[in-house]
Amino acid sequence: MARRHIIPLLNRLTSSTRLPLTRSVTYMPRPGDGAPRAVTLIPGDGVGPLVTNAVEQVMEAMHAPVFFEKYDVYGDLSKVPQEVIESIKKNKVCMKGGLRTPVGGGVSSLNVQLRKELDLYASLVHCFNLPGLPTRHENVDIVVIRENTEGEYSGLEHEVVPGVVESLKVITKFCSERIAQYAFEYAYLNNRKKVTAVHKANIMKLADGLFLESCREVATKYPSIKYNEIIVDNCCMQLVSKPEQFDVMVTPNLYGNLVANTAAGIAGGTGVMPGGNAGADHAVFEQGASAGNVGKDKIVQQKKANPVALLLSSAMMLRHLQFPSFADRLETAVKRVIYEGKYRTKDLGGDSTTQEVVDAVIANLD
Amino acid sequence: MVTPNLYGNLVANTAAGIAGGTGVMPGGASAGNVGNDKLVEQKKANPVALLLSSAMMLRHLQFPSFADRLENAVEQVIKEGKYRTRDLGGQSTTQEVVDAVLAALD
Repeated sequence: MARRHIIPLLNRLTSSTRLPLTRSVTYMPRPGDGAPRAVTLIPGDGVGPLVTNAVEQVMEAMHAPVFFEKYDVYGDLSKVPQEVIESIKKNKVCMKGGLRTPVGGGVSSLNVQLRKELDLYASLVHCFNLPGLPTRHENVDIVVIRENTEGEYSGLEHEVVPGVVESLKVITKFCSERIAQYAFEYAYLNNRKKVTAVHKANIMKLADGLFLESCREVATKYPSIKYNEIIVDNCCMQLVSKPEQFDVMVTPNLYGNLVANTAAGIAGGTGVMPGGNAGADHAVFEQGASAGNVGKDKIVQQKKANPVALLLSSAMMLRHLQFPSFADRLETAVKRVIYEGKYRTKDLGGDSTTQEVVDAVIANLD
Repeated sequence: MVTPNLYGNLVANTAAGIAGGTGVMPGGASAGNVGNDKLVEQKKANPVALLLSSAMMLRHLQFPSFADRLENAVEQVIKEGKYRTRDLGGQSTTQEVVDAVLAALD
């Protein structure tokens, strides 16, 4: 029993003495690359305005070549306003806080609406241990790529007779294939070694079976990347006991939601994991895993929301906009603040306010 | 926790995973209940989950005293830590664990 704990302990000891270093890399721009880019900004509900404001402050401090076009959208609207959609279609890139989705009732989630309207078919969440933030599991570095438009989120429900409801889960070859393609392409471009498909095809033989078939087909086109499959219940169990076995995971809609939040939970919580939604033409960046993205009223009042997830997502956005140096500076500053441990919000065991964390990040920018 | 079908499957396996694994939880967390071929060949499957479930069965059959004896014996074996299968960090075979439980029965 003691043998199993030695290696993670050694890693923890050695990694705790390694400060995140700044890289010295030169990126050659093309003339005109420094022109400021417009990004649509949706502050959202609850803690959304707090954390998006954090991003605005840090971008300003870095003099990053982005400017935000802000639109107020609230979760209780019946649909996303057309002008917001137009803005995102024009700018191609958007940053948003969470939009509150009511449980039950007839109102569909605006988060889901936005994804479907812009066909943001891939949701990506990167769950990893942050240096200086010890959690129950070390060596977690999982990227969850989740199909974002169909499956259990088709929104097709009806009451057959009073007291009996039917809910349709729709899986298509088209959507399964493109999400598998996205996952393998991501793995290939980011030097990842393995893609794991998560499913429950033993029960949903046709639906999840179709998903698996599509994954297997795409896998044959990437022979240098390992591919395996895991049933979702075993997957949940493995995530909380041996998460180091996972690398990139590709999943249908609902399982991805659950797997992403579980993976986020074991590595530090949804307050720190970055992520985004991508389609063929647009990208929307937000807090990676969805749980807590609107936050509780108490956190809003006390202004103690964790801005780290959105800050790291905004770094992903800067890379997407091809401003890698700004992205590196931002990430390094955030990681230093976490490592030093002085300014941490409640979910990380500290007591700081959002503003204190933001100030610390700005102070740590080079 | 009360859940619909699918979520219960996932939540049960996750909860089992954080508290020791599906090899020890009584009731019915389904992951790993068939096991892999290697475990079968080497005869190193963890019998604890099914032993504790059989204690639940004895209570269901209204034999609570037998249930208590069985559970105490199993808990003692786990606590002593000498006979544990691989999923719990040990190297024992199923038979070794069973023999230990039998020895611990009063």
